[in-house]
Amino acid sequence: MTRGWLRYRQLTQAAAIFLIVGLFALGTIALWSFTETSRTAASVRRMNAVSDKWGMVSQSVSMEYETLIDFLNAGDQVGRAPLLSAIGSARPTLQWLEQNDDEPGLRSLNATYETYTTTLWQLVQAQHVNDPDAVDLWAKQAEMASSSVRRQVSATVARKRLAVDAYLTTVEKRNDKVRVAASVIGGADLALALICTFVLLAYQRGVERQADESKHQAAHDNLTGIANRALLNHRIEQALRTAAGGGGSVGLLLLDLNKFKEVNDTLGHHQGDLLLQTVAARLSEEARATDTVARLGGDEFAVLLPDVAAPSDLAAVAQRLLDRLQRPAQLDGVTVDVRASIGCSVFPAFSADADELLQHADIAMYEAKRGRLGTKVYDPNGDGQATEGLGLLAEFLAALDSDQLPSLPDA
Amino acid sequence: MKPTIRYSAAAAAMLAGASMAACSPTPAAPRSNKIAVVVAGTMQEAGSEMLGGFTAGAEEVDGVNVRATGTDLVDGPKQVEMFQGLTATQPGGITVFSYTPDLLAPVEAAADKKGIPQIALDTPPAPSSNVKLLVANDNVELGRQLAATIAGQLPPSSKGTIVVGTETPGAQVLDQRAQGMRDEFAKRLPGVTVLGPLDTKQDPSENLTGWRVLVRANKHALAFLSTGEEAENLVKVRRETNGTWLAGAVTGTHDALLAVKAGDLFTVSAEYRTEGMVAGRLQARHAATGERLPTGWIMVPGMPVTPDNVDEILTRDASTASRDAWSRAMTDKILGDPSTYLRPLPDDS
Repeated sequence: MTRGWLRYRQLTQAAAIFLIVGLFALGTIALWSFTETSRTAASVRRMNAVSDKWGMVSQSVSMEYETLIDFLNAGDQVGRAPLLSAIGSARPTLQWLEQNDDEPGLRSLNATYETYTTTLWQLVQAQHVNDPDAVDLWAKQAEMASSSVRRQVSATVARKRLAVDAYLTTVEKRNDKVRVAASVIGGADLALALICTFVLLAYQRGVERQADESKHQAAHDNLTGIANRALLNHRIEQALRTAAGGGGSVGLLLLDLNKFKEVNDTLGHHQGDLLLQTVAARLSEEARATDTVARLGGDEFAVLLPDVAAPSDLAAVAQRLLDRLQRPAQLDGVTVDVRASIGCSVFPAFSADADELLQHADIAMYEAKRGRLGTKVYDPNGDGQATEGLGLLAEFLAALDSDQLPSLPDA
Repeated sequence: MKPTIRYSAAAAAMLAGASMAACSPTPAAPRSNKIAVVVAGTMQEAGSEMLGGFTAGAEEVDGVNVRATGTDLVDGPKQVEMFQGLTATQPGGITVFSYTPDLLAPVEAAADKKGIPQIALDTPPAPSSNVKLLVANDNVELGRQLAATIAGQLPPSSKGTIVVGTETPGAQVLDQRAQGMRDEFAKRLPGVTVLGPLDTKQDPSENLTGWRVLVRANKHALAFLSTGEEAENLVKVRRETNGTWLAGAVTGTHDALLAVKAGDLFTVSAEYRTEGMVAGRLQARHAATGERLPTGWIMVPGMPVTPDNVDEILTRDASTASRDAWSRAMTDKILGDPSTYLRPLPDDS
């Protein structure tokens, strides 16, 4: 029992510790996930911002080239100012990228863009001095430079997009692993929680069982297993309340074994105990399910009958019990005659309350024993004689204690 | 004796980030002896030489089925389709040369999930492709080599402009070459202004027109350089105009070599055939024997071609057999010296 309890306790402790560790791990994973999500969002935002800037470079270069075409079509007077304002429009964005992007191709792109803007300036200059051949050449070179810039930007943007995809794929793979880990830990936590619950419920059941056993032991006789005096008193109170409310009658039989002391003295206490157990068993077999069989102490027993029709019925029940009881008993191979006296009392016919019921049954039993009657139902008319007898018995017992024996009445 | 890759612990320690340990990402995938290479632009020098080199390198290994294919011109979407087809028929391994690695990234990642071992050729793979081996030039270095060759022909105090053209702006490898040129000229010819890279277009006739425009617009320029293989048109314009300016390109075609010999051109050969052969040999060995593919960037050095060494190169290129013999010796050297030639993958791959 102790070992089992220790095992339960160790299991519960281990489960609780692992549960706490698991919950801590889940919390850590959750915190890590929040952090990683935030970091991923920031990274993607930054990568998108960089990609946007690359797109802006492409737009600026295209706009410069369109302005160049307008300049070539419209002539120096109309197109010059827009072209001059457009030249170099991508430079601030490129400078931003130099500071915020580690793209290795940026140096090559910057060099090409510088070639482009230089070519445009040369073109404007050639137009200004009215040199159409030079304008044509610079325009063609500008187209080659513009195309080079745009194709470099386009390739870079494509690489950036793939880099974002690759990054997100990596994040997804990492998240998948975390999800699996969280599921495993969550499952383990659930299992541990179930184990803890199971152990606690088992513990609770154990405590309740122990409480029931204690309660049973407090209300029952250790030797015979039948009700003890406390439980009998409780049952009597219950039965009297019920009978008082419903107009029924309650009977009480008090039983005392004859010559039990001789059994103890001659055969020993063990045989005496066996005899008491035999008596308890026989009384229990004969009693109804609603009756209460109790051992009041020593060789004294009681049977509470909650529902009795009439005192005459009680006498019949007492006689039947006595008949069943007074059969030889085998005590470890020794045959012993069982003899007993039974006193009966009835509520409310002869007794008004529990104390009287017990007292009257006791008087009746005394009379049965004294008169060797076997059974005796309490007779209110003979109560004084019986009471006198009980008083003498009490005096005799007191005299034994004080070594002053009184004179006994004639039998 | 077939060359082998020997990677000492010391070399591995020196090459943090580059590792020979990693191989096909899904070891459980069944091995196949069917491998392939798919290139961008089989009609161009780079693509055709890589195909030839890859095939020669793979055929050194017995029992391997090799399929060498590619798009005629640079066509990213079509190359993606071809790659997807090859994943079904050539699961033993696929090598890719593309100017648009970003487009190929999703299908390469899908092939990686299937356990198909892959090698990126000449162009760094996109990070999301999960391709862990690159066989390529150092393109910044190629640009530097060409610029150094040109600068060597000019007084350090030179002033004026040098024009750089590119047929595919935005292609990282070409932009890196342009950057290498700029850096080298800034160091060696501080008085010179470098223009470009300008879009000289892929189409041959548009390309010729473009160079003509640039030469006429910059008639006092000291030199005109191409980041790619546009030497033929550049030389043509130089001869048309009786130009005294210097011309340079990153190419190794026979016509380009003849132009070098004639004094019309300086080039740096990217050694595409050697790139292809390195990839072909590794891919075939992996398919045939399960030999692990290295992880990282196997750097194939370029070769400046000047009038001083052009005859040797012409002799080398006289036949496919002699080209393969040269590339084979270079492949042996590269795969035998990882401490020199194996690097971590570039940051953007």
